[in-house]
Amino acid sequence: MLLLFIIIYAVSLMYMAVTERFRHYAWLVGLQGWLLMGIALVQLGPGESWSSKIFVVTETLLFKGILVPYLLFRIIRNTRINRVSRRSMSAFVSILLSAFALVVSLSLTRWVSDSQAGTLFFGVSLFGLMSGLLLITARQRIFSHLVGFLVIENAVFLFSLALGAELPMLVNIGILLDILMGVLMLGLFLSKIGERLPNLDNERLSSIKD
Amino acid sequence: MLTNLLIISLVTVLLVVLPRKRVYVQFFAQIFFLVQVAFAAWAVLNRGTTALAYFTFDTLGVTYYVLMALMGWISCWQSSRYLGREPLRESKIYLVSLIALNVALTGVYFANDITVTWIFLEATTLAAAGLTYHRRTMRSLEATWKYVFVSSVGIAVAYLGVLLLGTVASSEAAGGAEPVADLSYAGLTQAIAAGAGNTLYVKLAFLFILVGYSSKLEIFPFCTVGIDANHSAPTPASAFISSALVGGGFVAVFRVWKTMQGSAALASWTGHVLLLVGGLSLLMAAVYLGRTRNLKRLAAYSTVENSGLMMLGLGIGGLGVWAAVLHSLAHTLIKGSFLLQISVVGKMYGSYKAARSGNYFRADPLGALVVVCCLIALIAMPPSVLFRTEYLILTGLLAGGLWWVLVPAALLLVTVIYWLCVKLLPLLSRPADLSKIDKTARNPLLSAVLLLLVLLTFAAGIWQAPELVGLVDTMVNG
Repeated sequence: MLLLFIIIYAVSLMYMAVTERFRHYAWLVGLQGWLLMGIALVQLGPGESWSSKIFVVTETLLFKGILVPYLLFRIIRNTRINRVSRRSMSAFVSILLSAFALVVSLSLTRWVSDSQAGTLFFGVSLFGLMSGLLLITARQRIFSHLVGFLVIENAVFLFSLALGAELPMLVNIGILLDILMGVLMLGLFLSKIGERLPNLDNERLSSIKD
Repeated sequence: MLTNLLIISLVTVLLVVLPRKRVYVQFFAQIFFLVQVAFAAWAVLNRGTTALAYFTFDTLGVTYYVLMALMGWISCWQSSRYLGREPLRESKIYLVSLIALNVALTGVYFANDITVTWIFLEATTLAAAGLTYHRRTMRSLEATWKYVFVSSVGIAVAYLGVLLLGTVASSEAAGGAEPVADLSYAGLTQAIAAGAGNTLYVKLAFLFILVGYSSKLEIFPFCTVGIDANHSAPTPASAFISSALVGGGFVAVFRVWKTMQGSAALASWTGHVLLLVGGLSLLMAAVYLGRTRNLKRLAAYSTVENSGLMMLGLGIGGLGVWAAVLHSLAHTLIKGSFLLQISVVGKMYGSYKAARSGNYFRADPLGALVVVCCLIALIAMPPSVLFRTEYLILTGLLAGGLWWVLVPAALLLVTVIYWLCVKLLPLLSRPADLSKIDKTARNPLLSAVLLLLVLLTFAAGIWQAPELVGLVDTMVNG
């Protein structure tokens, strides 16, 4: 089951590289949230306390599975921008880079081959990190950058699940803070950026000069 | 005592938010910073103690805290003059953000656990964003968005690094010793020295954390957002960001770097990474200093240069580390003083564009003296203490046979000195019409205090006081 969730998670990252519609991004981020909740349920085994399990699963479901996708859809509705800029990198180049990122992540994971943190978790997290960075650098609209950040956050969360009961509660608090930061950024985007930058192009954000 | 400080902070925030008269708002903000000065004195007297399990008042943290309390108080004082008759609501948000940044940095300085440091660094992003967005213009929105976005990406990447270090902490050591299973710096140092965990994980962790914290320390690669934030924030807040927040970034990186020193292979590897990052930061500063025409951005790029030098110092190791720590301490005072004086310049001339200013010596002799002293300090000309630290760093590179770093670094430093002189000297002596400037913006008392601070750093450059040497020794080895 765990393997299936992680494979679907990796496929969602690949799909993100090719899709150009913002609605798909929002669906995929939501799907990742639910997958992470599933992984958390399976992964947090008997070693973990019940309070910790409830904390992790609830925060994943509430924030990553429900609130974040809801805010993304609201941004899309408010701004009425549906797809990435035409000047962005083509889907073909994007999928090539994504495949390259996957190969690099898996190779690195194989090289490390450490049982401590679960190689699969490490490899897919690294792939998530690279995918997020790719979205931020290759796409021109700020919405894509925001999704890139959320993908990175999900990657970090996935890796934190790999460590499970080994780490203190403080790590969970850190993760919660990270999630809240993402929600806050979505809020900032919704209330300030969206209304001032109707077409959400990052080229408009270049008024600060030397 | 730390709990008391937190309660006092919350009460002060309420007292700043509630009043409807500006004078009360500013009064209560000043009270907070005075309490902080008192707490700094308490922290000095109680060095070595631990509070709330996650905060230790070690010499490194306490020293930076004292400097922050000082710079925070002066920044708050100048802020009340600088903000003048701006809308009360905006002034309140500004002061609350400044207080929040102070509290977050207190956590960064004293945290003895890498996760706690990370949490408080994340909090500094929010507080600094409140300061950056103060003007509510399109430009400030742009700077705030970039700052929040890039810092958050960086912080998320850094957290991946923290988690990777978590695998080390929860691993058995080479000899089969029990895992330390906590993320305190002491525990991590012990685990790494014992050879626990996978070395590649540790290397990746250091890389991720360094990149993640680079927006705070203002080094390559994420320094650009810090520069934009400095540009957009009101100048007294920029002074605080460039001094205390950069200091917080240094403390965070320094503590992680120290955990790696137990393993010779990791120490060597982190050293090379820091040399590379330091060199690239110097390059960036030298190139962009030549392009900028804004006095605040000039100061911000100078911060990138100085932070780059600190990284070079850490990268060399040995005396270089000692120099890097002293460099960071002195930079906190010098850059804070410089930007606070520049806030007066900006108010007087109504602009921070270098081309719109001149004849400052005539307009404000004492303020001009502060600018001259800061310039001497920043270009590391004797008697500046930065001359001593840069000399130690460059000779360290020479002694280590690192010619590939020494030659470009020396050339880039010459370029930086050239640009700082070319851009700043006209402010003092270029003929300018002084009839249109706002002479009421002068603040001789502030200039006198800032001059005293810069002269203190000169004194440290001339006289190697045993107390100062001992203090830096303790910070490095403690």
